[in-house]
Amino acid sequence: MISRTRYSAFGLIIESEIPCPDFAASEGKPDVTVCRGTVPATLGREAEKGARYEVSEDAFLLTVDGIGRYLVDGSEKIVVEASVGVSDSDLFAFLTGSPLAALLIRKGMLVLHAAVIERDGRAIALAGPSGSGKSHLAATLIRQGFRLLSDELCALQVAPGGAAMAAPGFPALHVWRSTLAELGVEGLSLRKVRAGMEFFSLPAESRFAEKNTPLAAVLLLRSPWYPLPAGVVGSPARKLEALLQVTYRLSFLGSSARRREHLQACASVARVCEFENISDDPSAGAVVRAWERRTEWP
Amino acid sequence: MAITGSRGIVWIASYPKSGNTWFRAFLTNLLRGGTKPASINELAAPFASDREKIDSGSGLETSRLTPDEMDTLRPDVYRTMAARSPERIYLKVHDAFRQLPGGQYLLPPDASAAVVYIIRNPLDVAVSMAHFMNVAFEQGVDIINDSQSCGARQRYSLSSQVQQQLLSWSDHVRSWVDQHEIPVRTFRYEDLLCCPSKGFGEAASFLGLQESPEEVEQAVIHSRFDELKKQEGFAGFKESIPCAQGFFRQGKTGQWRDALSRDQVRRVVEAHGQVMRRFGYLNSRGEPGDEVWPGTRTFL
Repeated sequence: MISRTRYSAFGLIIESEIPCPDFAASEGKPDVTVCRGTVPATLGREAEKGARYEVSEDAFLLTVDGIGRYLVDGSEKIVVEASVGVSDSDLFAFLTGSPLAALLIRKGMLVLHAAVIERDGRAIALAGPSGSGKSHLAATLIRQGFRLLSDELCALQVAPGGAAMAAPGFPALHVWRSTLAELGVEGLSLRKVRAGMEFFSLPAESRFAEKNTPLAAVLLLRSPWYPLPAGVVGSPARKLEALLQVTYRLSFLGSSARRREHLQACASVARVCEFENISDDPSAGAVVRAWERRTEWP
Repeated sequence: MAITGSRGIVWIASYPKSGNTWFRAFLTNLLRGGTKPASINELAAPFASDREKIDSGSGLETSRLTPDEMDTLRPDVYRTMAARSPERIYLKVHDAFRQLPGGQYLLPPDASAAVVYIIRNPLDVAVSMAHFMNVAFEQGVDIINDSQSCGARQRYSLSSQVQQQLLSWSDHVRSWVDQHEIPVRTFRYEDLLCCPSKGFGEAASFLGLQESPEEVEQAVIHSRFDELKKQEGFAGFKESIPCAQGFFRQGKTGQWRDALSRDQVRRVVEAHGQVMRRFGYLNSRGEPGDEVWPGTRTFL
């Protein structure tokens, strides 16, 4: 008999055949199912193709060599075909990246490459590409009074012309051993994201913000490719440009209608949120200083 | 002979701290033209090892990949980049040119147009490496002598670049200049420094860039070392690393004479004498010295 467990992540009830150890257990009618099954090697000639992904209007396909294939089929189903001998832990490690982001996009959410922290009912996105220190910074800040809303992915429900609500992801951070060492956390008892890598799942249940929270600020940890001075970004056009750059893969949008909606959602976020380029000093101190200026935020 | 074709990847390849960024500054100024120097924070030929570039090209979160898995992925990322681009792509690379266990090349020849390889006296590379990494000169020598040398080693933390196998200085040089898969032209850093207009002009000709001698001269002036250093002092250089003592330091040759001990020089010459001799970094007595600079020349 197939065993399925229900979890909560990014505001969705997810029923999964693959164990999701970082997600919080949940009940209720599932919004999404994750099941094992046969996944095609390609979405066909019409699909937009990258080196390991394909995107069509209705589907997203990711191939991870030696791990398996992930098919996001519409907005309610992810099918996973595992390679021979692959552990559930490895399947989950890749599920929480691009396949989950592609699903959230198909749910109509604006997905940014950012960790999100919360304080006093306001969410702050720490945005930047992989390797820019998002999780490290979030882990440091939840020791300083902030709470974790999500790691790696910032999923926003954007009301037309209104607020952008950041969804609570799951109560764990994925951090490297160097971060654990800085935090003074012993890694022996922690689950490794992948066996053999010094990359850990750091539980954050006690410091997890469980409710949708209005996004108040986007802090840029890495300087974008166009010239952007350090400090507060005032120009709406510059904010929009920055959002397009920290979007979790524009190439995953898959249809012109979705691209149009994405642009509109970014324009809304640019209107209602504070933006600051802290790439010169992407530290906890810089985030705290930005937070202390919150009375000036839109 | 100039390369032909308007597509494919041109690799600007070198061991670290060998003048690669300086070459990119020249290339940027040449391609862009204009009356003012290009910003050092908007240089052409971005890193081939940039993690975000590989993440977005593959659709994967590469932070979850082991270095071996990453190596297997990279050739297809470059193929996809080359196939998608309607024009030539320039990429900076410090990886050695090498084959993966399955036999394919990390940097795929079928997606490549050419290689500009920049070589620098390893004695000065060791000194510059030590300054850049903020370590003792002895460690600078250790790095260039280590046959397992890596850039952005992924072990306990994640870098914005993916791990790159550099190998030792000699192995790196041989891997590029002796390969026959991609047309390669080698330039000595010292020759570019000594006679920049001639050296950079030859590089432009090799790449089939049709700019006039005046335009080449202007690009040389806009990429002078003092200009790069001035810009770094004014606005910083986003490609530097936190521990570095400034990315653009002196831009001179022969720094090793004041920096390295007799024993450190001996270690470098013992490890790399054969390749050093081949590229004019040792005299007929097998010693590094002033008489080894034979003037501008390039190695095909």
